[in-house]
Amino acid sequence: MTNDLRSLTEIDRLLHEPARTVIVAILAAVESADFVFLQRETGLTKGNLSTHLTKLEDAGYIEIQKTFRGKYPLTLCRLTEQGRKAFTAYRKQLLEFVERTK
Amino acid sequence: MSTDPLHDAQKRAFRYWYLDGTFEFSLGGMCLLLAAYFYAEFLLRATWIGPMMIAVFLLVMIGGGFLINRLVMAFKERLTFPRTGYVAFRRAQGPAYWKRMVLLGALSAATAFLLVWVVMNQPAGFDWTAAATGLIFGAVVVYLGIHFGIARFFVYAAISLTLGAITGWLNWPENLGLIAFYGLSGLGLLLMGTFHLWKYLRENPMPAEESHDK
Repeated sequence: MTNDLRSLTEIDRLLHEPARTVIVAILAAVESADFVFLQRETGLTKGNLSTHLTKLEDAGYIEIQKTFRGKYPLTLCRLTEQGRKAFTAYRKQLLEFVERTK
Repeated sequence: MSTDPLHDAQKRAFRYWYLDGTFEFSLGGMCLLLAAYFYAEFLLRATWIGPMMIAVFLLVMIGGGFLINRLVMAFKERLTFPRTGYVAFRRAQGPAYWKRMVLLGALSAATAFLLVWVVMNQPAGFDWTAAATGLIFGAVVVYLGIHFGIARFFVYAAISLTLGAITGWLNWPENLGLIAFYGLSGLGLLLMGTFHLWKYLRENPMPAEESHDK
C-alpha cells in the first residue's frame, strides 16, 4: 500500500462523516453552541443530531451540559481539548492527502 | 464566500450574533446615549452642573453600555435563543488576549489624539470633528463588516461617512454637529435594527415546545 493510501486508512472514522464533521467544525469555531443552533446549522432531525452528539460525546470529543438560559432549557455542546486535537489532525490529514493526490 | 463548506459553517457561526438586528440596537443605543450626553453638556455648560458633566462622561458611557448590553441579552433570551439557538463565543486568552488589548489601546489612543488634533486645528467653515467622527465610525463598521462578512455594515459605513460630511459641511456651532451625527446615526441604526429584527422574526417562527433528548 502506498503512503498516500495508508494515510487515508488511518483517518479518524468518527470525524470522517459529513454531519459529524460539520458539528465539530462549528464547535471548533465557538466556545459552545446549543442543540437548537446545531440542528439549524446542520439541517439534521432531532433524532439524528442526538445520535451523532452521543457518538462524539462517547469518544470524548465533546461535552454536553444541560442548563438554562433565562427560563429556557439549553443543551450546550462544547468541544473538548481531545476533540479539538482530533479535528485539527483530521483536517491536516485530509488536506495532505488531497495535496499529494492532486 | 469561500469554497470550503466547513469554513462557511464556521463563518456563519461567527455571524450569528448579528443575525437578529440586536447589534444595531446596541450600537444605536450607544449613539443616542452619546447624543443625549453631548446635548445635556451643551445645555448645562454654563451652569454649576457643567464641570461635573465632563467628570461623569466615562461613568455614563460604562453604565449606559452595561444597561444596553443587559437589555439586549434579555431580548435575545426571550426571542433569539428559543428560535435559532444559543452560541457562546470564544474569547482570546493568554498572549493573544494581551496582543489584542495592546492593539485596541494603541488604536484608541491614536483615535483620541487624532480627534483632539482635529478639534484644536480645524479651520473655520467646516466642522472637522463631526466629519472625523463619521470617518472613524465608518472605519470601525467596515472592519466589522470585513471580519464577519456582513454586507449591510458597508451600507452603515457609507451612511456614517455621508452623515459626517453633511454635519461637517453644515458647520453648526459648539458641538451641535456631533450631537446631530450621533442622534441621526442612532436613530438610523435603531430603524435598521427594527427592520432586521422583523425580517428575522418572520423567517424564524417560534418552534413548538418540545424537548430534545440529548
